[in-house]
Amino acid sequence: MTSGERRAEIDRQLDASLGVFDGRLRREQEVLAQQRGGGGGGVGPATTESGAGSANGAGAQGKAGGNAGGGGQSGNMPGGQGNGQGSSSGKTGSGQSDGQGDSQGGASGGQSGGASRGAGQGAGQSGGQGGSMGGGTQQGGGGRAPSDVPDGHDDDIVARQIREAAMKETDPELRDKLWQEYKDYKKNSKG
Amino acid sequence: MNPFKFHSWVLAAVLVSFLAGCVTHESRPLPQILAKPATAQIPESQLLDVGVQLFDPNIPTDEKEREKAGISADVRKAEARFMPNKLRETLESTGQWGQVRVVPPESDAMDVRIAGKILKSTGSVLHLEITVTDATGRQWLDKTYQSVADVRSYKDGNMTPRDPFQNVYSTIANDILAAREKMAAADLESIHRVAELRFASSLAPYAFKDYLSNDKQGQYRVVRLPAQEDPLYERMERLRERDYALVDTLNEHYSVFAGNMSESYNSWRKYSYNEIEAQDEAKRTALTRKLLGAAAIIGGVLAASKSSTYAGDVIGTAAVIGGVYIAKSGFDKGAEVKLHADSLKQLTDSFQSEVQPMVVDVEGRTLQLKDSAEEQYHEWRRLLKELYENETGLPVVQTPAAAPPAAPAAPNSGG
Repeated sequence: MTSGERRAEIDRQLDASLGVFDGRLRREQEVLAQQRGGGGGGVGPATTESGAGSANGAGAQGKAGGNAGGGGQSGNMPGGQGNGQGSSSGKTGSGQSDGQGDSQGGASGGQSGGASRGAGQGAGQSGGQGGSMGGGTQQGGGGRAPSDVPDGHDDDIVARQIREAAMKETDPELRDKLWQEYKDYKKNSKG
Repeated sequence: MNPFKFHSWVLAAVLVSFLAGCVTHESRPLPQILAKPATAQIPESQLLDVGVQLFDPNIPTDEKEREKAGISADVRKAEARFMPNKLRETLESTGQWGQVRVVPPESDAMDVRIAGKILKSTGSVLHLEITVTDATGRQWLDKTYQSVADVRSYKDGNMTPRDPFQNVYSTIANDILAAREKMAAADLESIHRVAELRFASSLAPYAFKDYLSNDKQGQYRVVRLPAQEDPLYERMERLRERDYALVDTLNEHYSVFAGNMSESYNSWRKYSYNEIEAQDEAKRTALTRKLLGAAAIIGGVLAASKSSTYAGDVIGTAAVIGGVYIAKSGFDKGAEVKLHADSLKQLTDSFQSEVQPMVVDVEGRTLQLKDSAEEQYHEWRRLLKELYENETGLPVVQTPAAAPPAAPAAPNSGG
């Protein structure tokens, strides 16, 4: 075989290969055209299930199904929202208290400074105790918590504020009222 | 009790009640940024083709991390295909560029290549990391973009809404344009030539690798050009046309996919935006009410105990009761936070279940197409080699690390 014949033979093979490639792309384009054309029809009668079910299918049906799902979704969104509201009420306590952790810390820090100052003026014994209000059960400007007061490990932000105020209070009468308010609040918040 | 102090507490309690009911947060429409359109015809030799690669979805492998960030893997995968399409539409609309196509992540077929990574995407905010390089290897851009949603896009009755993050895409388009405008005409023409020679070299490195060189920065430069009548190069141009056709077809798949998910994605973003805003608002209000409620309780106790009058006792007691009420309303708001979080998760689950089959579908189709094309490319490499040997009479020494051509080269990509 001469060089020219060999080149012609290679070109023939290349043309054939390009033809196969072109054919493959043409078929793909036809499928895409069907998908573009047929997609709109799928929207109307659609449900979410039809979108999911058709997705693994081949060709234009997969597309129609996908669009159908889109139609279903629009209608489905507000429904999903409604269900969420209905089902999630009444079980928010723990999630919320976790979420407030940082903010509580910030508030406690502010109160802690106040505790140190109050203690210094009042009993003059607190020294470095000002920062201890986080634990809350030992020393403060006004003394320790009464024995009938629950420990503050499960205090929410409001209870903690009242507790801190009671711990800092040097007036015994006022302190008792704050502790009473604290106990009432704890009792009611549990109920 | 000091009357001033007493009245301060009462005033505070009243103020607390007022504030607790009035904490609001308002989102405003953003000024619209437009992509700069071409005002004069760009010479064809300088009209660069752009490939926008599918974005990196940036999905954390750890499930807890995903949950914490509120990331749904399927939604992110869908967004990694949807967002490049938005960027493509934006670039095309300017008339500043040649062909603009969405291409698989490994593709370097085009003159300019845009790669993106989704850093954060919700109905409320979008953060993207964008890198732009050209065929010579020169980096044009490496920048992070972020924006809040334009709430006008979420208004009911808006039949053809502007994408809520269109400002991000327009800004990227304008930045890429600014980078191009800094370059000399000769540089732009060189990019196009390098892209063609890199394609030729990927299919027949033994014949074309010497036309290009790498400089110290690793950038390609054209050393010399093939002769017009070079039989190998003539055929290469035919193959290049097929390569473009393949890129077009893949782009069309991504475009159809983006069109399919568009309506439900927009709905998801709109409703999730509402939930995110409401959740943030509820968080702020809940905390404010709790703190203010506590202040009112303490103030009420102090006021009542220090008061020497019946009226003072009554007001102090009322402040305590009011404080408890406000604090309780704070906890009720806290319940709302959880409720909005649950709603948001339900919305995402619902959208995920819808979009997941679409992602599987487009992944399957494009993978099949690339696999099929790769077989053809393999055959073309063989025929080109035979043609080269026939023309030169020299045997080709196979080099193991010939760079494969662009789009179909990596059948294992996520395309």
